[in-house]
Parts: sequence; structure tokens; C-alpha cells
Amino acid sequence: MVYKRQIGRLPIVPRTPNSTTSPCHYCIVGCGYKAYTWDARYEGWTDPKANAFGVDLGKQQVQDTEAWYAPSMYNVVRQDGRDVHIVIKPDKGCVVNSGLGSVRGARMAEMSHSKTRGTQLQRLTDPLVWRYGQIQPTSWDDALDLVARVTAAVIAEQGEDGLFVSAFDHGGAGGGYENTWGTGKLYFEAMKVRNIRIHNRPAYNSEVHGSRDMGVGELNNCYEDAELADTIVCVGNNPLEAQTNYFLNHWMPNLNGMSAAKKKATFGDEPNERGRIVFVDPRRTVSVNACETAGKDKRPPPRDRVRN
Amino acid sequence: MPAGPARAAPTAALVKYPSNRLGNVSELKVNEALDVAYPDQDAPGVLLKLGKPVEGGVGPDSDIVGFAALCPHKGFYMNYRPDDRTLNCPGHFSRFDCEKGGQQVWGHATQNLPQYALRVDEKGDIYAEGVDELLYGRLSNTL
Ligand code: SF4
Ligand code: FES
Repeated sequence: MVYKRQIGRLPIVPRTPNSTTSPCHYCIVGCGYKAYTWDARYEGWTDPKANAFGVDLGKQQVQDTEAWYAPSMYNVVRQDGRDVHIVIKPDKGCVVNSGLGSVRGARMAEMSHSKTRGTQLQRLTDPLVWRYGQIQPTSWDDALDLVARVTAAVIAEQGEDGLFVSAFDHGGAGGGYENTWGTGKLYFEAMKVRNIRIHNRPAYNSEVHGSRDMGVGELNNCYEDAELADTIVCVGNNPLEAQTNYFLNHWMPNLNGMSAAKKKATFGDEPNERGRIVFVDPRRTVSVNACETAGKDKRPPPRDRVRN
Repeated sequence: MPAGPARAAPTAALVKYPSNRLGNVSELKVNEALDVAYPDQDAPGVLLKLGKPVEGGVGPDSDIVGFAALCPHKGFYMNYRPDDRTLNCPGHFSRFDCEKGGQQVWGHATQNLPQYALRVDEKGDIYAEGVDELLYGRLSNTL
């Protein structure tokens, strides 16, 4: 039987919650999210003056509204030792995703550690260190102190090149920001270590040439380029699933002509047709299907070349 | 590390639903969507007769189902595709299986499609009496 939450309402974000903007924790697209927290004992109300969105929530909201969140975007978590409601929803004001969530990012709240609602109880809440023959929890001060002492000892004994770092990395996103950014600043900029690898990688470069989820040579273009390009050649990638909002919010507008004004502003009188996307892939992915579907009503489907 | 004992989640937040007549069995043709609205006029949906018993199906053939028609991703209005009995979203390509209780076949919604709890009376009138997921665009299914 299909899973249903059997839920008919969610707590309303009050008028003045704690609010932050934050990049998504999941993939490297780095979509913007808004995170609201407020004390677990109360909630906002439908009156425009009594909720964070300033609209009448006693009415049906329109498509793409900012004033709605799915049950997956809600949870009850501990913050500064108190139970709080949390809502993490896509940020309409962020140029990366313009309010779009994906099946990963739109679950951040639900995928948070919550004793109250029994979600993600397996997640770590303290740093763990290997001591006295077992992994055990400790404080951040203690864990960082240990890293500093080991680092200093290795350098004292073997010199700077004796230091090998295996660093956490993921995403230009939340994980990337909190983990990669901190460690990156330390190891790349401050210490300039020679020997470092990030998570699954044998070296600090992509282990496979070019054709990765985001396209040939990942991370070397501005997202806007995908809105302006004449043709995007996509080799062995499935961007709708793997880098969802980069595809939906930056490739699609080019394919369906919605970025025409931007092209005109950028290129002046140069002819600028709708973008084309060429897929080279042994698979017939949903990205191919999406391009065909989006192109269908207005013109022949974009050329997709499926090569085995 | 042991996660500690799981505590029971609080009961799901439910609302009181009206019992609304959406149509009559005689109005339905197999594999054609009938536009309806539930629990009020601002919440569009569809009634479907699928021609074989399905999950949540009511009526003499246990094949009548009802679903919200707004995509739970960003609220676009979905189209019914008779060839594979799915509701399809023009927004960002999500698809939901009408024979499987509205299960998302593929897509970026983080919930399956809200399905109506239906009842058919002796006259063949079809009533909706509840919804099993949050509807797009409202933080309370009944306004
Ligand atoms: S595409 Fe999805 S997973 Fe990736 S950053 Fe955006 S919301 Fe997060
Ligand atoms: S609104 Fe339906 S897939 Fe986005």
C-alpha cells in the first residue's frame, strides 16, 4: 500500500520566528532555503498579521506560493536546549532555485534529528573520537584540541609534507559550507597542505574526466551561462535527477525560450534562438524526456542524440 | 552509538472533513477524468473510474477513486493520461499513479498524491469524506 502521512494540517510559522537563509544540505547545486524555528509551545495563525508570510492563510494559495510548505519541510527539533518547531522551505529569493525544492532538499526538515518525532535518531549529535579501544563521544573543544595536537606532532616529527588529510566534503551546499568551507580554509589557504583528499576521491580533483552530473568540467561555469548558451552538450549526465534545480531553473528557461530577454540584453542584435540541448548517453533518461516534453507544444522536440 | 529508544510520534494532525457529494456513478466513463473539487471549490480534484479494482476504489466495481489535481510539488494543475493512468504535472514533470493510491511514479514532490476517502450510497451518489495527505497551497486541508 502506498505511504500516506494521514495529515490534515501543519503548525503555522508565526509572525516573528527565528529565521535564517541557508544553502541546501544535499547536492552541489546549492539551492537556497529558508529555515524558520520557533518555540514548540505555540504557533502562528491564518490572519496575515499572525504569520510569517503576511498573507491570509485561511485561503487557498496559488501555485509557486511562498506561503506553503509540505509536511516533509516540517519537524520538531532541539535548538539551544529547547524544543522548537522547524520549517525549512525553498527560498524564492535565491537566484539558484527561485523557490524550487527537489525531492532531496525539500526533505531537510524531515531528515533532521528529532527525539520528539522519532526522525533520524541514528544521527550523530557529538563528535566521536577513538580512545581507549573504542569510539566515544566527546566535546567539540576536546575533538578540535586533539586534531591540533596530532597535526602539530606530525609536523614536528616529519615536517609539513608528512601531513595527509582526509577531509569531509560535500556540496557547495550546507554540508559543503559547514564542513568543506571550514576545513578548506584551514588546509588549503592557511596550512596549504600538499596531501589532501575529499571524501571518496583519491585526490583533490575529479576522479573521472569531465562528464559528471553538472556537465563537462563541473563547476567551471556560471549558472547563468546555461540560460544564455546556444547549445548545451550533455555527455553521460542526467541533470534533471542529479542536479535538479540547476536543470529546471537554468537549462529549461533556455530551452523553452523564457531566457530570451536575458539573451537579448546580453547579446544585443545577435540572433538568439531558443537553446538546444544535445544528450549523448546510452540511457534514455528523464532529462531527455523532460526536454522533449517541454519542447513539444511549441516546436519539434530538441534534438537528442542517443548513442550506444 | 545506540540511537536510544524510539518514542511514539504524536498523533497526526487531522481536521474535520465535510461529507460532500462529488457526483454520481452514472456520470463516470471508464478511464475519463471528471473534474471535481474537495473539500471546497478552491481545491480542484478528479474522479476516475478505472475499470478494475484498485487501492481506495469504491462503487460496485471497487474502481472509483478521487485525487487532488494540484501537484504537491509547486501546485501546478495536473493532466490525466489515460494510456498509463497517471496524473502528470506540466510544472516539473512529476507523475502519480492513479491505480496505486496516487503513488509518485517519478518527480520532485515529497509526498504521494492526496487521495479522497470516498463512499457511494444506494442511489449511486459519490461522497468524499476525507483526504490522506496535506493539499498543496493550504496549511489546513479545510480552510
Ligand atoms: S537540487 Fe535539490 S538537493 Fe540539490 S541543492 Fe537544490 S534542493 Fe538541494
Ligand atoms: S509543480 Fe508539479 S512537478 Fe513541480
